[in-house]
Amino acid sequence: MKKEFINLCFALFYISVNAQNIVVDYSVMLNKEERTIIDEILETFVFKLQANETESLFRLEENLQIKEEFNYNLAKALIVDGDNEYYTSKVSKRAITQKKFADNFFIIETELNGYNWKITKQTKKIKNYTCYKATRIIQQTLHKKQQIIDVEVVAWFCSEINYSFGPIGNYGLPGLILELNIGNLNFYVKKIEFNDDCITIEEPKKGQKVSEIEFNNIVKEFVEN
Amino acid sequence: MLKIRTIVFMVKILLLIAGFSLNAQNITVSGKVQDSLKTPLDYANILAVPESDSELRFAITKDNGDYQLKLEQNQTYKITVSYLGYLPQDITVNTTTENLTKNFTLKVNHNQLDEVTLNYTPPITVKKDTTIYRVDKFTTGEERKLKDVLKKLPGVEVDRAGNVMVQGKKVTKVLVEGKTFFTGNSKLAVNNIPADAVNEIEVLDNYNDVAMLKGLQDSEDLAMNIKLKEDKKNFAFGDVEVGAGIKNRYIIHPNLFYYSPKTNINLIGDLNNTGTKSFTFRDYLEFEGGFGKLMSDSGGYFNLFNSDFAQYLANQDFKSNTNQFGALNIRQAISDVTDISGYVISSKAKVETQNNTINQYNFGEPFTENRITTNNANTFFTIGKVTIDYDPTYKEDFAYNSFVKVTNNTSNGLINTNSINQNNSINTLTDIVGLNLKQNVSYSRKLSKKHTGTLEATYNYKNDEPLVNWLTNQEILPGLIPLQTDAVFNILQTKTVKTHNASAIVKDYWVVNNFNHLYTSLGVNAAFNSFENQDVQELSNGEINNFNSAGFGNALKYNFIDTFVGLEYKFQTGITTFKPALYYHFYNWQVNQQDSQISKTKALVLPQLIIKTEFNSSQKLNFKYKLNARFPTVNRLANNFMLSSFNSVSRGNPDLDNTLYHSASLTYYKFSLFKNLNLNLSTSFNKKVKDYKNVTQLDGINQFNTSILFEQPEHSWNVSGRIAKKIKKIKYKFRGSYRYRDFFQIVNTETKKNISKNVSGTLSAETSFKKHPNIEIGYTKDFNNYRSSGSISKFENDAFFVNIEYDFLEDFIFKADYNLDNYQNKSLNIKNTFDNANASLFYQVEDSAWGFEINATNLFNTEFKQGNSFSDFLISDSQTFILPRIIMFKVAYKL
Repeated sequence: MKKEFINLCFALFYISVNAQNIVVDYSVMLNKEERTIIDEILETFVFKLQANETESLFRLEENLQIKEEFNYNLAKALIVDGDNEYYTSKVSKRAITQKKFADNFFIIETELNGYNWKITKQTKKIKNYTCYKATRIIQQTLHKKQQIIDVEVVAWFCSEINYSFGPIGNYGLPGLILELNIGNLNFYVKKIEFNDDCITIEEPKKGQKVSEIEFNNIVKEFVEN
Repeated sequence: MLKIRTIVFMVKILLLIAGFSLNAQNITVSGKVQDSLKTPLDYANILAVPESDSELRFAITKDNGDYQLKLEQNQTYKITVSYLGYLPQDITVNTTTENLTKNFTLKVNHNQLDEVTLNYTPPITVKKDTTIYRVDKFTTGEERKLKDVLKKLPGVEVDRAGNVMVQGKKVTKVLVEGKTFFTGNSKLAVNNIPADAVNEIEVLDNYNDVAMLKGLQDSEDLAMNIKLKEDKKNFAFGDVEVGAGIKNRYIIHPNLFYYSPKTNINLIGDLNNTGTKSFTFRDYLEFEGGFGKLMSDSGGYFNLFNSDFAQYLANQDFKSNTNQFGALNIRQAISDVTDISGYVISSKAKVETQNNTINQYNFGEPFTENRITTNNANTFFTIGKVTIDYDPTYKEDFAYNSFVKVTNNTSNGLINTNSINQNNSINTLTDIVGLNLKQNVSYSRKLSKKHTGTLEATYNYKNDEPLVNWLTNQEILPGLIPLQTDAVFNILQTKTVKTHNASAIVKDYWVVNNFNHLYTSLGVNAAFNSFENQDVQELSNGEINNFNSAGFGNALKYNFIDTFVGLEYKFQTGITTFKPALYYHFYNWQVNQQDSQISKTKALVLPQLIIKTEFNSSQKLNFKYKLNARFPTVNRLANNFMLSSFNSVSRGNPDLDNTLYHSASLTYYKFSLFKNLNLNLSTSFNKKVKDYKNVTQLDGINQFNTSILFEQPEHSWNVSGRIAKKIKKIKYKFRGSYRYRDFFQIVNTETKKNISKNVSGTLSAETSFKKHPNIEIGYTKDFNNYRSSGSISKFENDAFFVNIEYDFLEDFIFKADYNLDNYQNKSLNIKNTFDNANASLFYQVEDSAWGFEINATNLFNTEFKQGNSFSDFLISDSQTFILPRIIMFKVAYKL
């Protein structure tokens, strides 16, 4: 009886010691030499990734600017996927992306399949974390040119943090992505919070449900007019 | 002879073997990951790093802690298992051809982390994709401009207007030698840079300075960098337009540019008597640094738009206009971080105006006055500005500018007034000389991560000396001015107004956190004014009858200092941003004149509130509220009599305090790219708590005005809306507005309330076809309703307009516009219909240097346009005379 009681206490202790969820702050920057006001505004952007055992959500956290609007919206537009919300659920095995186009929202749902990541032996240290380099190729549609091109996504992940998520919908690596590079955009981790409490992660619901192809068609039709 | 069936069978076997061999290269390692209490660890990471250079493999455990890891046969791997909160475990595995089972038990990591801040910034790796075209490989030497060269490059398309596409992407920015070319507009560069100066053309992909439409999956912008030949880095270009027309009309308009990597010069000249102003407000904006620079300073744009120079540019109401205009703009780069720019604008014009007005005096026994005012004015002004911009780092910003304005306006006018008790002709001569000097310094610096500081200081000096001379053979202002009998009455007024104004404001922007900002400002505004005037009558025998003896003539000094402290708190909750602000002002002023020395102080707290809700980037709701106070201008304080015009005398009041009024506005804006819809609704409200008001003694058309601070509330209210929707190729627009205003008139000791209401609606449609003629038509209806002293005056106007533009036979452009107005003064039963038309035909062969135009304005030779207004105790119905019909033939040559 006494032994079981002690075991129970330990069990509770262990459970509380496990991180129930993490909240990761990402920053973004542009790969270019000359620094302009856009870079200053991008410096104030904070992207948040919330993840617990079963769900994750990545989105841009809005913040206040000193000098209004014009440059802020321009900076946001630069991070073309910056207004999107990315949600995954291991329970329902779905990946949901909420995209915004011409002030309409769209929900694109796919199966949680995982991507074709190629993990290389290249490593680098980000603070105390040893990160491995992984790459994959994605298709980007150039609407005006009516072409689809291959773009390489480079992710540096660390396996010590076993949350297989990252910025702008990149998931499936055995570890948290600490740095992501796509085109001339760099997302990188500023801060990681390890929490014991339970948090609810909200699935983005607002928007018209479409498939990826349908979404591309909507954009294509708009561009052609 | 093999049968198909056999072939298929053999292929199947081959595939099976292939399959086997692929699979055969992998073995599976499986097992369970758990902690020391045998609790399975789900979603644990398992990473397998091979010794050889083959791929890394990985697996993630399931809910029950089970995993399956596929590894290559006969390899050595280092396998690491990790789970947050536990110590990772490494093992080395040498695979054979057999599957393996490996279980892992992880130990708790007692080193708990709550939060980790990584002070890490990734290194910049610039990926520059450039395509370089060596121009001499593609050109023949016959090309004139850059446009002709670009057409010969493979993969490059250029359209008639000068838009460039490379590999399907549009070139949105043109740089020359790595720097923006004048405004950066590709058309200016493409159409003007001489072909023989171009050495290489670099097309920069990934030039992500500006991303266009939001929502597109990629940025499709391109920058083009023109590299010039060593000896051709300086060149000039531009166009000259020369025209002549019927009845001695002429126009000469050069627009010249000079370019060198460090110096940019633009010269615009305009000599004409056609009343056209070739230098537009847009050009003025460019001289001031361009739209982009002013975008971040909305106050600056507003001031520019309302400046008297901008008003001068907009004015179209004259009977004849001969002007000589020149503008020069220079931009010089001194170093990488310093730029000096300046402009000089000089204008000399001779303008003739005529205005026929019927004034309804609604007071006592209502009567009307017919007044015809003609004027011949010679205006001369020169404005110059020098600006130094110093941007050493993105952290600090320094700008200095110096502004000069010199004006000399003389005019000779005749006023004919007819009413029951007065018929008179008065000749008015004015000579105004003015000088304005302004120095401005602004500095901003990022003090720390959370604080940005700005300093702005201005010094302004103004000296105006207006001289007015009235000549008439009949007595004016009987009983109000001490006229001595003479054959011709010659009245002269001289005034000297001098102002020294210095102001400085220091502001700190504190970013408390992402959603809360606190701005503190401290400032001082000091003005030292002196005002002198004399009113005299010059008698024909040479003597001077000085009106001083009758209490005229002023000499006063007015010093005013405003010290203030302001606090603004900006915070965001959800999609709404709030900015309440509080300003504490301490005012201190002295008014010194003969017989009167007044010294006063006052403290005022003036609140402000701005609320902005952004539903999304194209739907916004803004609310503004402000409590305002204004102090009197120097002439309102003068306590001796002063002649204001041929029919009014005034006297100021040195005891005047400040006015106080509330202003509030609410605007809604929706722009749907998707639905091609544009919606704009706004309403504003203004309430005067205290305002200056003239107390008028009226005798016929002659007025005597004194100033008081009136404390009964007066209101004005505006509601307006605009909606535009494009369906297929036609844009439909509707605009409507309602304006209400009430105000009091104090005439001959009676105080009466007046109300003015105005309703206006415009419906229009505009086509945007690519190949056909484009047409815009519209109809406007206006109602004006003025209530004064119990009687109501009504005005109505129906207006119809149509604009056409037709591009035909490739090289011809035809433009025409027509408008018809049906004007009604319902109270006096006056009806007037007048119409107006303009047309032009332009011819230019593509890429030719020559262009020809025939242009006709005011085709029907309409004499005037009509309008009405309501103020004080007067309702005015005015006919303003305009330029007669002018037909011009113009030739344009491109250098």
